[in-house]
Amino acid sequence: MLHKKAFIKKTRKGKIQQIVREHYLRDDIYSGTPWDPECDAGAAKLSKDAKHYLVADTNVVLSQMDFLEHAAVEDVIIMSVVLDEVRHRNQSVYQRLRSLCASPTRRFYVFANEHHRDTYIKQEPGESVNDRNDRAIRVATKWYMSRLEPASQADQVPEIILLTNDAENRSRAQSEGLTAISIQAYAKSRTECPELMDLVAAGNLEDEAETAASRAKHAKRARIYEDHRGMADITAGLKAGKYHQGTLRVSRYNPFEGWVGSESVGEDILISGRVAMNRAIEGDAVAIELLPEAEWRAASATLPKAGADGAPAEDAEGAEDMQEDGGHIMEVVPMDISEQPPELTAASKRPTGKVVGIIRRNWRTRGYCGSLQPQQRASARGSTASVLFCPVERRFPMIRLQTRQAEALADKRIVVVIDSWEADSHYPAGHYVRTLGTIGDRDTETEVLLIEHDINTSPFTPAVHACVPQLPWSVTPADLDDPNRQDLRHLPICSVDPPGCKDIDDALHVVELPNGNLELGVHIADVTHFLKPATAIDDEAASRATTTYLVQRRIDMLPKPLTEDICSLRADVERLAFSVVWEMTQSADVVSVRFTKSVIKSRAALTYAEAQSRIDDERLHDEISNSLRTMNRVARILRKRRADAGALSLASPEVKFEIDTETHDPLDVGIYQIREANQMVEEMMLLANVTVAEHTLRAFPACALLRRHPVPAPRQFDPLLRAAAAAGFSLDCSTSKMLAESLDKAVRADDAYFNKLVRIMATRCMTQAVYFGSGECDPPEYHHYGLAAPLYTHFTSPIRRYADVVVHRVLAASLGLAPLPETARDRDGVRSLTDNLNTRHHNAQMAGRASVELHTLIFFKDRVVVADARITKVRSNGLIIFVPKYGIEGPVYFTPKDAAASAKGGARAAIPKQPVSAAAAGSAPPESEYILDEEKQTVTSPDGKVCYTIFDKAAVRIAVEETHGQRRHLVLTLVDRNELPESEQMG
Amino acid sequence: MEFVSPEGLRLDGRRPKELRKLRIKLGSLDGTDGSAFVQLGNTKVLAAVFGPRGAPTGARSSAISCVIAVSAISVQGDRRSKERLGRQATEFSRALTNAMEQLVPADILKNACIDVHVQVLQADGGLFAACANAALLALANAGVPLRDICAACHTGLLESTALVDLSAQESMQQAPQAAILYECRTQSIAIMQTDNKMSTTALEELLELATEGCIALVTAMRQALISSTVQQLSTSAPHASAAQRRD
Repeated sequence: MLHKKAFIKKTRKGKIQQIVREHYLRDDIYSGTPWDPECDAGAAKLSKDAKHYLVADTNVVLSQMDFLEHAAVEDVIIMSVVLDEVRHRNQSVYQRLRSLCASPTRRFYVFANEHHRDTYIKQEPGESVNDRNDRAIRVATKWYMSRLEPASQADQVPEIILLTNDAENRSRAQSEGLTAISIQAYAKSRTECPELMDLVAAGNLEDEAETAASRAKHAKRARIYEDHRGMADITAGLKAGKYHQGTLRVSRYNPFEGWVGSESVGEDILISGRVAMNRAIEGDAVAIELLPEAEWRAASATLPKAGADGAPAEDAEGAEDMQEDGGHIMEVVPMDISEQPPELTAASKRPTGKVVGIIRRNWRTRGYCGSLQPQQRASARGSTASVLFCPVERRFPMIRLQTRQAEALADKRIVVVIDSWEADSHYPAGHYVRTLGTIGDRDTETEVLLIEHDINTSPFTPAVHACVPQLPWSVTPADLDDPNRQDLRHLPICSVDPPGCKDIDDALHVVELPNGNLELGVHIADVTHFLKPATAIDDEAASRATTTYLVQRRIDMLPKPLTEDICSLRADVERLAFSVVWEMTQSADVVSVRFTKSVIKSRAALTYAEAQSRIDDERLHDEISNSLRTMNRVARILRKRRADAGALSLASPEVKFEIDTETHDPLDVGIYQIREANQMVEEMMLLANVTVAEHTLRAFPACALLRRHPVPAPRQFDPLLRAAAAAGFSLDCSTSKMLAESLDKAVRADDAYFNKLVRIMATRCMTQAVYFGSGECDPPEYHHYGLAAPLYTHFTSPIRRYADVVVHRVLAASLGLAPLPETARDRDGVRSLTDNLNTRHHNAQMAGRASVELHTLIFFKDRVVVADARITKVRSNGLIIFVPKYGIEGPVYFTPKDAAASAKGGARAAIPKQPVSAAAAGSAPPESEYILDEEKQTVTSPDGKVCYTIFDKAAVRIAVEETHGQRRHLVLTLVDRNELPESEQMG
Repeated sequence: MEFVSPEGLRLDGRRPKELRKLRIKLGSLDGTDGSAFVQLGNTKVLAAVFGPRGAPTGARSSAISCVIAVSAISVQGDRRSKERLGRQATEFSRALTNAMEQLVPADILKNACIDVHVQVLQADGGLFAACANAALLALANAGVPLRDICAACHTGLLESTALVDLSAQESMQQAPQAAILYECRTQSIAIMQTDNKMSTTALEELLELATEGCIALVTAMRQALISSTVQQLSTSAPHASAAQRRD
């Protein structure tokens, strides 16, 4: 067991003290090649037939991960010195490299050169760490060459190639007798695989010849952006209060307008324009400098339109750059609750700043989805062309990339990664990663939205599937004999879910007890019985955190057999459950509650509609119908009680698609209907969640997983209050109860939909509810604002939410059925868990909405519809219109000029029968043609004939327009309300 | 932090079940009844035994005492880390005294007392193991019989991998750690000292590994004792034969 080598002490200088650590050198580290006679055959990961083995240096790994990940790049040796350096410099690249090395399908071998007796080297005096590490790679490469021994004369051993883009390193390697080439040269040599060349990251790592040429070109080009300050400068500036730091949030409507929330300034700082933004993109942590107060600006009060921020032409070569801004036209966007639109009066100036340095880049390693800008001149086939890439998410700038496949990619959605952004380039430089499919294709576009929202769609690994019990599965006698599991098969349990629901995680029952009280039970699928902590399936579920529901597809958190069969509480089969059972009086006062693992047998799996008709049909007196009616009665009492406590009844513009089973195309779309049965089930789930939250918090005051909904900051209600004031009603946002009451009063006799519209707008003012560990904040902050509940958690959907799985485990631990899960034991564990849950949850929601948006586009592809609409925002050059029936919100422009300008890039809308205002006579800027009154929330035409007020009824024609930017847009056009068919009128 | 790379190497190049380099030197201090120097990686301790000798007059609660002292040069860093080490040493002293009362046969201690002093020269993790092993070796060097042959070993569970003989860097983590003093013949644990929260399964895993480590250490320690005795005999042999000749 003892295997000791002579050791060398490695000294590392810390801040003040010297740290001495042991460093053992070994002789039992193998080379991993079948050519090495000493190497264990089982450890030989590299191929025997390879023509060459590649050794990558640190910079190649850091900048060329996409290249290395390509399936054509195999037989790569990664030195441990490279791994260490990569880990220190970029954690996410390190993770990717590690998973590449761990993959059984790829031939990547890690050689621990730092711990091998023959390849460890000491840093020479005067030698920098980088030089020492480069030398270590060369020494290890040399050692590899000595290891490869041809078994016979005829054998040709693989050549070992050192890939490095450092010219000096290359020349040193060559003088030491190694083969060293740049990554570009290597990619070029792989003529059988031309797409490799596209994967090579751009930037300043080009071939010498090219570098020289581009350097000459760069010298000619004018600098567009200021240089970023160095990190030392930034730190000093921050300390002195000269700079402020924060994360850049780019406006959804305008890619060159953004906000930086800074604690030191106290309010958001406006960053306006390309130059002020200085190459920062959405999510970057930046250092900013405030501009003098005289230069402060207001956020744009107009709808963004084409050419709004004109980029100066670079030079003749950059001519195509000119059109790029045309692409950034606002398109119809779905409702976004979390968004805070920059609602500001033209007069109110905001602190304005400019970016002076970037503290941390937030470039996505998974890449950006989008398409190539159509080229003006066709490039020769196969030659490298410089093209602009236009991301689908318009918060991001365009990306310039080099490709040999420009023609083939013209109508494709592709993924591109940003490599660098030089000060003399309008756009960041990037490289192609992969092709997703043809633009406009439903599957491709779905793939795009999944990638954009970072949702893992890869199939479950065999290790995960191995954790799933074999089908057909049934309750075993052992489960029934378990003293901790109660047999509840005799109870009249049923489930109520949306139609087509296969992952049924909750079922209900109610029976009358002999003493006249009611026994109410909520039975939740016992997922944790199958999902044991620290298994492959549990790790996977924890990282996915939630099932994502798209319109036509479901991306599961758990493998299908568990989701749809073993865990699902289907009708007429015995299933394992975790039950919450209350005894309550007829007036719904809880007498007692107990929690137990159970075996149940659901009598019926009903849809909401079926349940509702059973409740309503008074002729039915079977067990299930009766208990549904009792349940509904209890739910009404509970709902009333909650409303009295101040629970908000908010609204979301949820729509429902009818999907063709064959083509998967949407057939019809309409508002999602909510029945009393929905509310009944919801009420029962709320009760179960609250009860479990209370119980687990009592058992584990420091590590219960709860869900809270913070009270919104008063300023979040500002846009709503302003709109309300203009519309002539008042809202009281002081407490949720006051808000609920004033929302109830916001009605208009002539518009039945008005109240719902106000509720939708109120919903958008709210913050998001979040998961948290009870050790994270003070008990008063546990409050759930929307539900007006002091405590809340998620317990009722463990098949599709990981949070519920954790809560199940914590509850089981509180009952003494299982030990408390490892991750729930300490604060850090809970925090990292909840952070992931919150992000994934948000992403899944966003992906779901994006999917609705996509299907709306598909639905309107061959249709032109006139629909009832409401005005939700007024701007000086247009309106934002909301169409309740389809849940669409989008802009309508006033002037044909704006519309025409915007049509270049995408959306177009014009109001017919409007006198084209030549009256402005060119003297006034186009924005002032219409008069915007922020106070009254109205916009009036210059001649005073037409006036639009917020919340006004309107009618719009909806159509899809395809533009050269290869984006499809919904185009809304105002039409006279007379054109609106009677059937389409709301309310 | 990655304490065991997927290649199976720890930060200092050891595999999970490898002890650090162990160096033992016996009898290096003059004027003591027995002494031992133990180096476990970069942890260096020196133990000396005075006794058994006649018990001093006056009642004493314990006939054997073991005192661990941390020298000023043992660790670099601020006052607080030294104080922490000092507190640990006090704790270890108590535990070792306790264990030795059980290990040294009662008849030896009748009307006699033994003082064991351990000086920590350099601390780099595994302090308890190094001190206990040094004290045991010094006792053996002093010729004090022990009930069983023992060794101490420190283990920890980092990132769900059980590691033996943690270095200072590894033992700094808030991870389950256990050190034991193990009696090899009776196969029982004389002292167990644990740090941080752990589950029973984790403890079982650690104890199993620690036992393995103790057995390996005992082998090395026994080897050191034998070779030192052989050396002593061979150096003292000429005198003995000379004395014989004189007779």
